[in-house]
Amino acid sequence: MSTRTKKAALSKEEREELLELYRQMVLIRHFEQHCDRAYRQDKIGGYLHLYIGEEALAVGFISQLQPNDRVLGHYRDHGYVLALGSDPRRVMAELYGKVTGLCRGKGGSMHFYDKAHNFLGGYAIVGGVIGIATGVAFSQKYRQSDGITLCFFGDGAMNAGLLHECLNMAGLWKLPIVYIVENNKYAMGTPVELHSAVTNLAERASVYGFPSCQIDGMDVLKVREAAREIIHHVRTRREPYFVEAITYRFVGHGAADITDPGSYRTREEIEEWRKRDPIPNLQHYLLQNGICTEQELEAIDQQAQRIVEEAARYADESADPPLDELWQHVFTD
Amino acid sequence: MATKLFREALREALIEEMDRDETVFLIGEDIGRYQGTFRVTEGLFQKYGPNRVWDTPISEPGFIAIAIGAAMEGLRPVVEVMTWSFAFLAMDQIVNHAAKILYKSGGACPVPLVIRGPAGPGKQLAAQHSHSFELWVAHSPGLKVVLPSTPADAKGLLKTAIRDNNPVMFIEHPQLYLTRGEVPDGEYTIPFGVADIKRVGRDVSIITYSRGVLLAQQAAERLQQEGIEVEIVDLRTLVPCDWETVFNSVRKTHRAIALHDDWRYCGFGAEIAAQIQEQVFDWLDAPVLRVAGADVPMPYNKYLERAAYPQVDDVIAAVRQVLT
Amino acid sequence: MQTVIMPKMGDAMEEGTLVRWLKQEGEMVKAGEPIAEIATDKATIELEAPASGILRGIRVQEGATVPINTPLAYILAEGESLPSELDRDGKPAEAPSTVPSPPQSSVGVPPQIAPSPVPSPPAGERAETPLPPSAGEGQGVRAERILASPLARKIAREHGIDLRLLKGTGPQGRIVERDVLAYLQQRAVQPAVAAPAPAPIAARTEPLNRLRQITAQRTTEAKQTIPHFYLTIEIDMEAALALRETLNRLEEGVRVSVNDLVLKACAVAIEKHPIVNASYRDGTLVYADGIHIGIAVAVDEGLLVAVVRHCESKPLLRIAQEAQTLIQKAREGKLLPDEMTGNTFTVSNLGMFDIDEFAAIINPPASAILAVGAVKKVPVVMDDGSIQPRSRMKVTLSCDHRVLDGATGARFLQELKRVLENPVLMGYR
Repeated sequence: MSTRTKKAALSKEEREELLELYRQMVLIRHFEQHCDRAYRQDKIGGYLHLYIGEEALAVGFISQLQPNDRVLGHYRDHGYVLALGSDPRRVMAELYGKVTGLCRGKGGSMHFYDKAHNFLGGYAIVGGVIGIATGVAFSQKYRQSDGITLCFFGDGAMNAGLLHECLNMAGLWKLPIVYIVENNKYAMGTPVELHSAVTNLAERASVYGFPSCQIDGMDVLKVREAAREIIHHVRTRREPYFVEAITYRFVGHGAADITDPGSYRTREEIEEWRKRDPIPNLQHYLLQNGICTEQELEAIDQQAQRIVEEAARYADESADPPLDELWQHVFTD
Repeated sequence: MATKLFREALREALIEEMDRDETVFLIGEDIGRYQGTFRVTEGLFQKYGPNRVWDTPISEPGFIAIAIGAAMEGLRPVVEVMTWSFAFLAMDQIVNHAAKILYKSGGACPVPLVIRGPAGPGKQLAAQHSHSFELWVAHSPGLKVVLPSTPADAKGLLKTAIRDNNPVMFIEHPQLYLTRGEVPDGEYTIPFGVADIKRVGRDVSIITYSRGVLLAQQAAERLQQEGIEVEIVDLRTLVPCDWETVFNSVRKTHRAIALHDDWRYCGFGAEIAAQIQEQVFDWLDAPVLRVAGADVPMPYNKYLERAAYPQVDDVIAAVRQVLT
Repeated sequence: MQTVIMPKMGDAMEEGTLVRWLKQEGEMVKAGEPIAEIATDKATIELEAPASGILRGIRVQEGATVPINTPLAYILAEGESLPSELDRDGKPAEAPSTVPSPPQSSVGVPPQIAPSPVPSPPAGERAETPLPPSAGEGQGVRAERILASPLARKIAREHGIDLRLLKGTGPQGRIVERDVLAYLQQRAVQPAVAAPAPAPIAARTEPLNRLRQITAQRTTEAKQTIPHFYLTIEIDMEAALALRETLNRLEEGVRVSVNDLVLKACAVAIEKHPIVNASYRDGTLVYADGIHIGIAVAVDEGLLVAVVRHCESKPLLRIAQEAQTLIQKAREGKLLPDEMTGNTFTVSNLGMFDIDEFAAIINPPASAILAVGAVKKVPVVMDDGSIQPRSRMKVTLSCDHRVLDGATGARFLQELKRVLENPVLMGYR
């Protein structure tokens, strides 16, 4: 945990920022836990990849964005939209396949899209997001906007040819993009040592003419700090940045992943990483430093639970898309 | 009306649209400084500069993906693939991304993208550069597929493609670039989904597109001397496809031949035959025949190559057969 | 193990219907014992067990029509068991490769000398007709397929044209648009031929039975493809009737009919004029191996032709006997296919209905048919000028003009008249 122990009195805004980080991480955690239950109840179908354990990454990076910035992610994408401020009810409705969902129930867990909150999509082909996100950054350069693009993907995508093609072009053309590899140690069930010839992923990405670094992805304050610097760099220098964020998921690759733990990783390993759970650690920091009280944190927790319950109720009560929706949106006018 | 080369007509469309709309830009391999393998983009880098004409590394998945992302943000990229045979590398970007993003976003995210370039046999380019490509994209919902046969159509359709808010696969036949034809003066566009009767006839309908139209015209000239009147339906766009014009032609001639360079097996001719038998079965007086490419990788030897895709005699033989 | 197959019961037979099983799955049967009833186009016959044993693996259901050679069931020896792939518990099954498969195609089957149950197109024209159903789908009823393009079908439907009346000029004999249009044009030119009157309002409709269908098909085809002409002659029957009366009185157990006299007289006349016994096929004249005279027999379902073979070598009494047996079998639906096919001449007699005279449609491949009217007492001016009541009979010969000319037909009738008026010329034993 952060040893940052600035006792200096925080401004009201600073305090609120810290509580907001906590609020978002707790919301994501409760949301994801509910998703897991809903999946067991067959309210959520298909593939369901939960973000539990990795909340600090989405929350820390997204806290540093501005209105012209864009975020794109892979298929483990619930955390991004919640951190970006998408309505949790519409997010849950999408997972339930309802017409009130972010994508009218036609995308599902792996395919969120919420332009109003700058989320330009989750992509279900490993590495696919990298090409699209690079194109979004290309448009920011083309339009000479001050916006930047955050592109999240997993360590498995390090081995997609597309990543290297895009890193090369982003470097060539100086595109304003932050590539964030969420190195949670496993490409599905294959450990990074078995899928990457060089296990330092930041180093692997360091040859395309722009900076790269490794950060601790389990500490939201460290993530926020790094994000602030990196995003500032990209925004002002107009060049890409590559970040390897070391993180860990506490749950299986997907909700249907019944061999975990035991097959490719041990329960002990998970327990070891759980000690670095970003939520209790931030809680500890906030209390230790007298930034808030236990009652305040408890209230935040309960509020998050209420939001998730309300989202679930909304999703439950929403209608399925009408059948003629099948033929809509193949083309647009 | 002036006569122009097919590639000049394409270039005119690019220039007019780039002048009209600043979000239109060109991206592809060797299209700028090198001015394009088939010289379609000749002079455009000099005219518009590097922010409108982007030379890329040889990274088809990469630059096509980038074009998709840019299109999602409202730009209108016109990607040139040096040949569509290279687009196989980017099939995931085309089929699994460009074609699906609108749908999976519930209609929220249009992808106004054009990918254009040559596809087809006849230049002795052998197995890996000679593919016809229409089927690979026409099969996927969410992609529009355009195959012009004349300079006038090429210009009007490319302008429509650039203004369309969907991914448009614009496929040019390499044997057409140096064909010449009359191109209307001034501003015009040609809508998608409107087939063009390139020749009126009463005896048999040849349903085709791209180079097939030229082939059908040559066959029709010869058959006319025997009193056989061939009607040529140029589909121009396979997606959307103007089936009604096809059906009306068959209602008139009662006999149909589907003609394309692409492989015969599961080729678009099979779709044409299926649509006709489903919709105008009672108007048929003979089975729908297909004249199409041999189901082999394209051989290098020029005589083998000629034998591997339709020639005029093949079309004439099919007409005779269907008229038996 | 013995396979029970749908047997070919005659040259013309391509398929048969299994009417009912007389033995059940698992029953013991003896060789030669009837195990099933089978209907061909014109007759119902009993199928005999090819071996003794246990009937197993029934694979064709009652009522199903299957091509000849289709396995119907198996007969197992004591202790033998049915290979598992054949054991479908009576359900239709794929024919295993060890079982004789049905003929692959009718290509090359020469046109039948005998009337065939379906019109046989010239050899080669059926190269693309659907193959007989492969074993396994063989039990479905197979409709006779007329090759016609969709457009031809549509126009024919709109104009109420029976496609069976048309000859196709397209590939494989397919009826195409031009054939229907040509037919329509011809119909317009000769309105008397076919222009259909507005159809009367139907009180009810019913499908044609099998026999009616065949009759409809064959008469239509015969009348359309054979250039008919007709010759009528009146015959004095006094002497013939006297002979008949004597025979019926003197010979026990025999009843010679007027028709039998006509049959025998025809045979005698044909021997003198063998061209009447010939048939037209693809530009050639085909002379048959004997004089096989068909007798048109009215049965409940329609019309059958029973054939008395080799009339040239059979005396009158034998012909009378055989004709009587055949007519009886015909009425019971028990004619064997070979008893219904292969006639080289036909006799149709409506005398018993008091018909004076009529003209019949030729029953190919025969090239002539004799229509026999009633024997009537009429006043006749005799050679000496006196008027006497005489028994007279009118017969009309329908001739295929491709084979017979007026004079040839006339000479035949003259001979027929001479024989009947001088019946001693037929002999009778």
